[in-house]
Parts: sequence; structure tokens; C-alpha cells
Amino acid sequence: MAGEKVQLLSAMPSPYVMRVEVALVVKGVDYEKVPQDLSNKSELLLHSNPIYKKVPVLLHNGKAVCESGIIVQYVDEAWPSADGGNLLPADAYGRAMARFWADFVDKKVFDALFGTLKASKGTEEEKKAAEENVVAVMSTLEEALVKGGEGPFYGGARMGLVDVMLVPLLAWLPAIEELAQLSLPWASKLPCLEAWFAASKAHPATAVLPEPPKITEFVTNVILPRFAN
Amino acid sequence: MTSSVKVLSFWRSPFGVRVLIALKEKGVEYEYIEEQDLLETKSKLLLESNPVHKKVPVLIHNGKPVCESLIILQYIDETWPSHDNNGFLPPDPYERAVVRFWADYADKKIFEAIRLILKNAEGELVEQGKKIMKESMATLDKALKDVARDGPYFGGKNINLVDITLASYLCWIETLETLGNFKSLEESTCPHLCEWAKVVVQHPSVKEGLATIPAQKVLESARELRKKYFGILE
Repeated sequence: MAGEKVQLLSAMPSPYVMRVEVALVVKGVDYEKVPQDLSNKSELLLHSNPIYKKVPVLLHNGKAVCESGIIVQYVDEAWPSADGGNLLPADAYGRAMARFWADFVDKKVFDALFGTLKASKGTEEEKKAAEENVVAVMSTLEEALVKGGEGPFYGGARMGLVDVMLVPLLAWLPAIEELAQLSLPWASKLPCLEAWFAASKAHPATAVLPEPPKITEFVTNVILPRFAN
Repeated sequence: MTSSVKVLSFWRSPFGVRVLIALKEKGVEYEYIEEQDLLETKSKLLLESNPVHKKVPVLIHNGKPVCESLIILQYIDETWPSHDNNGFLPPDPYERAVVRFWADYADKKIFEAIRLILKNAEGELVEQGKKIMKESMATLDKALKDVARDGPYFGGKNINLVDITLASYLCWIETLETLGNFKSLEESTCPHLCEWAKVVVQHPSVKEGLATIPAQKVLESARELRKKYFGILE
């Protein structure tokens, strides 16, 4: 749309930023990425997100939208798609289900994964508990995918809200599997999720995600040292 | 077509009372089912309708469960749409994002404060909780002042998602202030929010909803919880 200015205040490793970026690409929105130095926050960031002072922030013609889940729904509503291209389905119950799983991904999935990084510096018991937590959470995700019907995405044949919220796993999971020495039961317990990963990787929108080695480097150099005892 | 609407909740839950307020606002009849014992044995109905989180409230519409209070509120808004843009969310996408932001903010902050103050007798964690309450009330006061509206509520002439979410916490805010012996929602720091609170409790749907969660009962119940689960004697 002519005269529209869309900027995404970003930071490379942030899974929350990744969700928004993939949403913008899926919806075909032209945007400019404005990388932020989170150790020395810019005036722009502090002015556009005074409450949380975090990325991502979406600036649409100068108006700021914050919080990744809220931004993704904003992108869906501000640029409505024709022919079933919206991230949320049209029916109220379908929307409630999508929002429920998006909320589950937001509240449980990334926390469980980050928990294994912290536990990697802890006792054997802590490591085991953290891994079990991840398996439990991923199994719940698997069940949701199975019950949701035709995949490979939560949105069906096309990526929807839940897929966009989950997609940062493509960049983060390999790094976490390596550094926390996680061994997930893909074949035996998570076949639909495995198929989801393959389909997401092949989806053109996920080309914007950072390569896993970059995340491995970030976790090794910045995150893990925080947990050193 | 008659539809069956059930609400599975617990009287003390601010997340539950907001669902009741929302249904009343839409004029939707419902059957209320009280979950007998939240902390010990969960009912079969709860475990079946919310197997993932096992929490209240759950809205069961024609047998299909909807979970998570803000998701339930949006479902109610979309299933029983209001006329003349008087729904819980405005029609403009940017304004909707702003409303979602503040409802989410209220939930993040107040719930955290409840957790910190309820579970501890005194000390650093309680002080942290008090700080969160004071800051968030002042921030919400400013948000109310800044939002362009043509009426007393966050939603203008009609209550919106933020009004319902915040109103559902009023009895708990009072309880926290009594337990922690402090003030957060007060005239000197939150003049607009205090004025809003006086008006919103008179709104018919809010009044009816809040009647199910009287402040004195919440305080007594909170004291019992503190004694039983956290060993705190007042």
C-alpha cells in the first residue's frame, strides 16, 4: 500500500522478534528492520515501548504496537488477506482455539526450552527434570496438532497464528538440543511435530530466520555464562 | 436457537468474575457451576474441559470448552456481537492492539503482585509486590487519562476489555492493600483511576458480577489461604 511506513525494532536472537518478522512476510507486508542494541537502548525504543523497553516493537506509520502476540494479531487485522490467507480463522471457536494454543506456546514452550539451558549448568536431577518438562510440553503440542486435523501446520495447509508463534523454534531448538544435550523422542512420540518442522523449514517465510549456528554462538557467549556457578 | 452456556469457575477468581460480567453485559443467560475445591481435588468436568491447564474459568458453549479468561472474553464478544461498535474491542486494528496491551498489562502486573503479597508475611517479596501495585496503578491511571474517550470508561460510554479486566480485580486490590497495609489505588497518585473505580462499580453488569465476589469475603478467604498453605498468621 502506497505511503505506508512499517518498521520493526529488532534484535537478532529474539524469538519474539522472529514471530513478528515471519508474520509480516506471511502477510506480504513490506517492512524495514531496525536492529537495536539492547545493552544501550535507543531513544526510539524507549519512546515507542516505555512500559517494557523491549523488542519487538512494530511502528506502523509512526504508531507503536508492542508485545509479540499482540503485534502478530495486529498485523493480521491491519492487513486483512483475501482467500483464507489470514492467520486467524473466521469462526469464533476456531479463533479461540488458535489464541489458546498461541498462548500456550508463549507461556510454556519457550520457558521450558530455556529451562534446559539453565539446568545444563546444574545437577543431574535438574537436567533430567528440565528435559522431562520439555518432553511434556512438546507432547501437549503434538496432541494439539493431531487433534487439529489436517496439517502440516496448526493453521492447516497454510501457516496460522500458532505456527507463527512457534516458528522461532527453527532457529532456537537445534542450538538448545546441542547445548543442553537434549534428546527428544521425535520418531516415537512427536511425529506430527517433526512433520511441522520440516514443513516450516520449507516454507518461504522462514527464510528470514537466523541460521541455528548464530543462535548457538549467542547462547554460548551470552546466555550460558549467566548460569555459570 | 437456544444455546447452552455454562461457566465453570470459583467465586474468588478475578478471572472468573470477568467472564460473568462479560456474559451479563451481552445479556447471555448462563449456568454457573462452582468448582468446589480449586487447590486440592479438581472435578471431572474441569479436568475434561481444561486438560492442558486444569484451571478455571472455563466457558462451555454448546458443549465446547473455551479456556483462558481474556480469550473467553474475546470469544464472547465475537459470538454475541454488540451493535454500534459497542463491543469489548473497538473496530480499528490499532485501537484493538492498545486495548489488548492494557488488559494484558493489568493481568501481568496485578497477578504478580497477588502472588508476591498473598504468599508472604513480610519482607522483600512483599515489598516487591507493593511496588508493582503502586507503579501499575499509576501507569493505568495515566493510560486512562491518555486514551481518547467520550465517557467515563476506558471504552468511553461503554465498558471494554480493559474495564472488565480491571474491574474484576477491584476486590483483590482492596484485599492486597489490607494484607500489606499500604495504598496503591489512591486519589493522590491515581485520580483518574479512582474516579473510574467509583463509576465502574455502579455499571449494572459490573455491579451484578462483583456482587458474587464481595471484598470482605475475599479478605477472609485470603487470610484462611495464608494460614493454611503458607503458615502466615495475622
